[in-house]
Amino acid sequence: MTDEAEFRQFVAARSTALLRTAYLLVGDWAHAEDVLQTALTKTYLAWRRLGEIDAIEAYARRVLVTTATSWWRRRWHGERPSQVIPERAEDPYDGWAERQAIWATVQKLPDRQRAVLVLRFYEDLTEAQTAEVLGISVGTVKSQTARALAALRERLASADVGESSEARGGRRDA
Amino acid sequence: MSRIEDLLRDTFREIVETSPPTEGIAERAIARGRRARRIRRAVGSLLAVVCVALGSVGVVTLGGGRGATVSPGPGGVGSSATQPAPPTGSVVFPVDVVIGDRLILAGGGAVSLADVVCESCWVQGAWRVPDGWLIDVYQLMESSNVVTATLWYVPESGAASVLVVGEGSLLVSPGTAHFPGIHVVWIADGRLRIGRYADGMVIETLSTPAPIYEPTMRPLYPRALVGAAVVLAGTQTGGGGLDIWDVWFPSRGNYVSAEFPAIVAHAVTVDGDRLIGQYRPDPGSKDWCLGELDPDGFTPDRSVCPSPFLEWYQILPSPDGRWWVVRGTDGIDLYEAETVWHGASPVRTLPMPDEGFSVTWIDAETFVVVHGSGSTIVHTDGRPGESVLRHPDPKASPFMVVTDLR
Repeated sequence: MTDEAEFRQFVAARSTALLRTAYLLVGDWAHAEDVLQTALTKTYLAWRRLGEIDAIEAYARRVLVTTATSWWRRRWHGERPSQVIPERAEDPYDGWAERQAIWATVQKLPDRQRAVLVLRFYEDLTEAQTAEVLGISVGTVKSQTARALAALRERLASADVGESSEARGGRRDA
Repeated sequence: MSRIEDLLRDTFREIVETSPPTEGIAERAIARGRRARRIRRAVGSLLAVVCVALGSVGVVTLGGGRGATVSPGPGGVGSSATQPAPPTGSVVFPVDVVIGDRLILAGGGAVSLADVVCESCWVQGAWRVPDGWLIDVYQLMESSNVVTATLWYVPESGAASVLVVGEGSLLVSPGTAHFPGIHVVWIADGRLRIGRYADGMVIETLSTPAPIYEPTMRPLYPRALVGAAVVLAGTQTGGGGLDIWDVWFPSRGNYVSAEFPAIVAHAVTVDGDRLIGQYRPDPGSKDWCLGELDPDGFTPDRSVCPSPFLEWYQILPSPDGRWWVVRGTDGIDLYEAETVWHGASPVRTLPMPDEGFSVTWIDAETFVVVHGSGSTIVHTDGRPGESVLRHPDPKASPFMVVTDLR
């Protein structure tokens, strides 16, 4: 099989998963696709020296995260709007407000903290793997994770979540 | 595992449950990869020369050598705010740089920004003005999900003071023929305001109701002064990127929301009259062209299609406009600006630093790449880079290079 055929096979198998990770990092599908496009272009250029599939996927993920975080820094530092999690018809009140608050808070986190959370709790990477992807120390991963989780806890504990839950409950009762 | 971690996992899974298709993405990556290879081949020999120059001939490494002890630079600050030199091994930059809550002066010396940068703040921009520095400090307001931008004036001598507080972001511009002198554009109390900076003060001269893109009611923020116009940008929906670009001509009255053009702005021409940006040649086209755009309708005065750059590249024109440094996907490219319009390749390519970095012009023929572990001076004529100054902690605090507006 040629390099390009192998590359196409890799993209077919992994691009959806990588796109989802990119979305969690940048918060917008169109820009997630831009980031993925860049990551895949770099992966293509490095294809011959990467060798085995594990190395390829790790490389692609690392480039994806680096591109997403640096892209974010370069392009916009103003408002960081939150996107609403789609309401689920079967049980719209089961934790919706909490997840909404979590997603809104994740989008407001500094880019590195956000990346740490995505790698640790979406990609399920270990602290050591996360450190390697981001090019930082394990200690920094731990501290960034702790800060980000503290921000999430604080947000959940705030009155906003309770109020929104109550408001939603109120609408249901009405 | 804690409850918050469970919630986080559930949230992430849910938010990406339905993702768009990725069809065609492999072919586009291959096409871009082939294009990058062609450029690499074209500049390969030059790249080797530059690497050798930077890697051995002209590189001075500090850590115990030159600059290990930093003294106040020429024309020093002589201020009560001036701090003793950083300890042995600290960075010495060829330009003023903000690191954490310290303004490190070119050649040595430092100014404390402890009164300016709070714990939950970050420095978004810094500019050298004739009598001090302007420091743009951002702070995320948790309650409103909006960033406030505070522009501080840090004098060479005396206490710092707040000039303006903006919502979302603010713009500091060197000015144009229509807006001569240093200008600040910001949003406050529901209005977009333009003011001129002089002598440690900003005097407001114009304002309009804060621009909103009406179809989605998204706010637009000032991004550049171009000619007689304020270029605005914002997000179209809930995403993080710049989707909407528009323009406000103060001479034509208040801002009016209109159909936004499909452009991506990169820079302003040296004369301040045109926007260097990319645009779609036809409605619905997936291709981009690079152009010098008249802000009045974003029509191109000159262009090249397809654009040699991707949408998220950064373009930094030299002070006289002769050169462009283009921060791309795989490297930092130096172009002779005029040749870009004729499809030329870069005259030189520097490898991309592994970590975050910033590029800024020192003069018409010299730029510097500043990164966490030091800096590299690059001459457009190919002379070896003069210095790479190493920092003992390669994961140094985020930094911001000061733009000289004097």
